[in-house]
Amino acid sequence: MKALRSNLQLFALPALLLGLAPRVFLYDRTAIMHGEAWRLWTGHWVHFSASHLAWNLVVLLGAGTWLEQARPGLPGRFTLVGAPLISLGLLGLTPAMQAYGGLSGLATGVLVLLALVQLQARAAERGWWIGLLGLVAAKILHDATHAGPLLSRFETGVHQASAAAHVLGAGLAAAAFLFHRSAMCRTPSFSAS
Amino acid sequence: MENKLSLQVPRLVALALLGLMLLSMFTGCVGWSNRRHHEASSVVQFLYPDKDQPFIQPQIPTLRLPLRVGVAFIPAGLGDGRGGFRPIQANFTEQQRTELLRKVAGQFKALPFVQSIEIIPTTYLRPGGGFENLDQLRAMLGIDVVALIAYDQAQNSTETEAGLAYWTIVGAYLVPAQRNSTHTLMEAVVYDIPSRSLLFRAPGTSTVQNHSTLFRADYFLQQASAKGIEDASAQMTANLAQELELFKVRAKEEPQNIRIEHKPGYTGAGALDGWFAALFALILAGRFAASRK
Repeated sequence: MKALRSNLQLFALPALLLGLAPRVFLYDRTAIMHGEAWRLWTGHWVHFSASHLAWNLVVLLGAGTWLEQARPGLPGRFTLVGAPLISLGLLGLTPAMQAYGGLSGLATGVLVLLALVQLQARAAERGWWIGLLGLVAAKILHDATHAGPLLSRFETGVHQASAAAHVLGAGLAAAAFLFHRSAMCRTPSFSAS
Repeated sequence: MENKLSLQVPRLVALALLGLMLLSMFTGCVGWSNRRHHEASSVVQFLYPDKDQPFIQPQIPTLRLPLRVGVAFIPAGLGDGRGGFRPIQANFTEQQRTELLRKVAGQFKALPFVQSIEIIPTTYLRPGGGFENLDQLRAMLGIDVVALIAYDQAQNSTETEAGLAYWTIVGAYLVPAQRNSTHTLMEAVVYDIPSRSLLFRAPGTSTVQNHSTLFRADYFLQQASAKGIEDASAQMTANLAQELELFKVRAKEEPQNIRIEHKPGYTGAGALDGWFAALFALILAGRFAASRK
């Protein structure tokens, strides 16, 4: 319950609050270049429709709660560092994309992180977590190959599903996992176990 | 006897003249009471005016979103047989055209992937201007896609059996012996200008029939013309809304027929779909079930 509450505070509550003034918080390439650095973080919490927010939250709350139970504090730390890094990656990799919004980059990262943590901790459940990684890979592949616009899902305009955000989220999660594992290995209690 | 005959000749001549006069009135009435009016603007005549010109092969359209759309009326005119066009007297008033263009523009405005709508004045289109004319509009107004509106209206007024009453003169004012019919076809065709390809079309039809007296026939035909245009326009805009919805589906499901790209400056969305969430939930549920065994 505590894990769910912390994820609601981390993802759902800010998404609802930032939705009140999306223009101020959206990832906007020009604005970021002009020094509005908070958008590197806040852009992920801005959504373009209720269904856009809902599907992202369903996945993120499920995976985030599980990860919070397995490794307390890890989702929060990953989000704090991962959000601006994904945005910086988008600035570099997708110069034609003027604006971006959505938690799916972070959600992909949390999913991958959960799967890697569980793969390491529970060898007996390997099949399920490899399956989850396969699902993430399929999603990225789908978005990359079906690069068509999301014509009907959003009410406010044409949007392109950003495969780059998912790739960056997954890559950052892998890096975070390696960093986390090496940090855990250095602690005496982890080495002993 | 001779005197009697000389008196009868002028009378016979007078009767013959009267008979001729009545006959000419009768035939005149028949010619006058049957009338036809036809006016049209044709997409084919506008886009492919020169028959000797080789057929323009359309390419697969590449729509670069968000789109800028132009909406225009094809100028009404009839071919003069020498490759030129002569304008015709149109029942379709400028006010009706403007109103219809606004309605059509409104349909496009509702689409999320349309950036702007330009209502193009009819004077910007030349009769038989073809794709060259559309290229000029594209360069001038920056539009990618154009919705061309064409119409065809045919009116007939024919005399029924009750038209015999016209012989009485008064009958032409009192007896509704004219059968009037007005057939109207409206059509909106949407073209991607660079690829010359037809994206979709939406038709609207109307038939108005009524009876009138001979002397009120013109008024009734005018009324029917306006109503026909109004009804056909309403049907066309309703069909246009449906076609736009179908087009959205087609654009997603048939990437081999319609290529879609984004112009620089597009908005990206980090979105996880329902199918992804469902599969994720399945994996979690499976993992739970397995751990309980």
